[in-house]
Amino acid sequence: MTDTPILEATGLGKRYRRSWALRDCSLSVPSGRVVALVGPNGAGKTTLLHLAVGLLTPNQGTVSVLGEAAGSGDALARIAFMAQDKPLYESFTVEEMLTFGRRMNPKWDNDFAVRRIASLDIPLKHRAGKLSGGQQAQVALTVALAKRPDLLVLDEPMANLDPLARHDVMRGLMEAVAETGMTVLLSSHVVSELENTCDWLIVLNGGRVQVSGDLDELLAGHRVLSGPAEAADALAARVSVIEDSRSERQATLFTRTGPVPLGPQWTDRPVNLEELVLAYLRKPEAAALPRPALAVS
Amino acid sequence: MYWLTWRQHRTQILMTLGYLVVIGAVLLVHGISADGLTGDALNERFVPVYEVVSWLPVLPVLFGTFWGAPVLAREFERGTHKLMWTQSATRWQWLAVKLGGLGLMVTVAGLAFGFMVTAWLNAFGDSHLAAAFGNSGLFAISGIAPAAWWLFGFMLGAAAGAMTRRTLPAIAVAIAVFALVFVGAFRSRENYGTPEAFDPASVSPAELQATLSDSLIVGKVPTGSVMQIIPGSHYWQFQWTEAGLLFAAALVLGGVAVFGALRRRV
Repeated sequence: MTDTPILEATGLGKRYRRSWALRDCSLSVPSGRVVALVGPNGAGKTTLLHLAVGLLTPNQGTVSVLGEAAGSGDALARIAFMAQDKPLYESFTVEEMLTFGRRMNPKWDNDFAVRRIASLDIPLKHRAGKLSGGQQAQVALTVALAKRPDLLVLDEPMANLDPLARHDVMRGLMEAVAETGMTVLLSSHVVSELENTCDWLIVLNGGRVQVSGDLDELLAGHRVLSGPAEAADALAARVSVIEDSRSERQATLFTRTGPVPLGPQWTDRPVNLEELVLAYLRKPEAAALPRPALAVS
Repeated sequence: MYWLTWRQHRTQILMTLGYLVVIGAVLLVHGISADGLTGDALNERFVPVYEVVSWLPVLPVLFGTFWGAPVLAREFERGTHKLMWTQSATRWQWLAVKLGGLGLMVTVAGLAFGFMVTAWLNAFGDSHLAAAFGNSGLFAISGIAPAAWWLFGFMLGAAAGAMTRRTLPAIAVAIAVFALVFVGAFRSRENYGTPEAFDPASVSPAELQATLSDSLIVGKVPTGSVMQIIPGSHYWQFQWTEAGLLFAAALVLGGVAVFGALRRRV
């Protein structure tokens, strides 16, 4: 295996008319991860994903997939993308959607596609436009998976799906990941459904990358410290505080720190994904990013 | 890519083919039935079908609305361009096959149509009504002009669709622009060549009718004096001029369609 990051962005920026949807975005995602891209609505998630798959061209900086410029022929052969509205050719039958995938992609795995559709009990002769929302999502996901991409990019895959369909789509996705070891980059604004599936986290806020890193390391690197308010300033001077909430007597500090020696009045506990995301989103100026890499050789 | 284009547009392709066959059969039967007829009998036989055929110069607008307008606009409307553009083929290939392949089919269909109309007019060659040069409607549907008109209509619709990214507004734009071009082309046709002086008194009345019905009459006609006309012998020169202008316009519109589609506003 090479150490080339599957996705690498450097100083990436995209402007729509006057305003920047994404600005000064640098990140690097290693291969084989399931990456969650989270952030509030309008944070630039879709813009970043569209840049990564070459649907948009950046106004600043570069983005590459396995070293190939996004949107180039070489990069296109290695990615698959499912847009938020999960577009299919509505007048095509499911079978014709698979034919479309087969004819458009040299690495297409038709056995896999047919097997997957059959196991989902989706009739091949039905028109794609007549399927239920969940089935349409499954067909769109099948077309994306059977392309056998190195990087699968999904924009809000769970949006517009009922809870059962969400579960089925997510399970199908995770089975495919386990089978092929591909990298998945998916965006969501529902953080809770990502906790058990993702192992890399990117937090995007106001067009800037706030957090990018291994999820376990991020969770281990943050702690919630609670103790008396009068001693909080002294502690806050020693550790990096992301969020500081105090009542008259009690202080709760959301900190970016490993284990720290604490006085007896203090308690500490680990954080969960949702707390981590929310703490950063409330403090747009805070960031948890890997130190800038040295000059690329 | 060819399969995709065929699958997406087979309805239009088969419908067009069907209409061509029907029109061809009607014109063929009608042309054969003219055999042996002369004078008023020939004219009377010609008129009923001519009254229908005289509407056909507006066919290009149908290529704009049913072929051209949806070809790109529907993809943007339904978001399927995001699916297509993330397959292994580049969007240049996609555009080349879609616009090039369909454009070629439209052009070939137009050529076939022009050939059929020309053959039909030849069957009525003895009737002054069937003169294709003096009749601006017949001029536009005979010879090679329909191929250029149809391709122009298709590219106009495609360009409107690429710029508006919605099928219905694209259809509206295509119809409006086509109406302007249609009227403009019919009026400016006499400028493709230099008129000659013709004295109506110099020929017999029968010859006069035959000459004038197969000529473009330029400017006002003062009765009994010398007229400015372009005689029917300029038919092919004018056909190529009109076709050339329309093909050039179609090429420009194709460029607009490509530009509009690749502006990368997702």
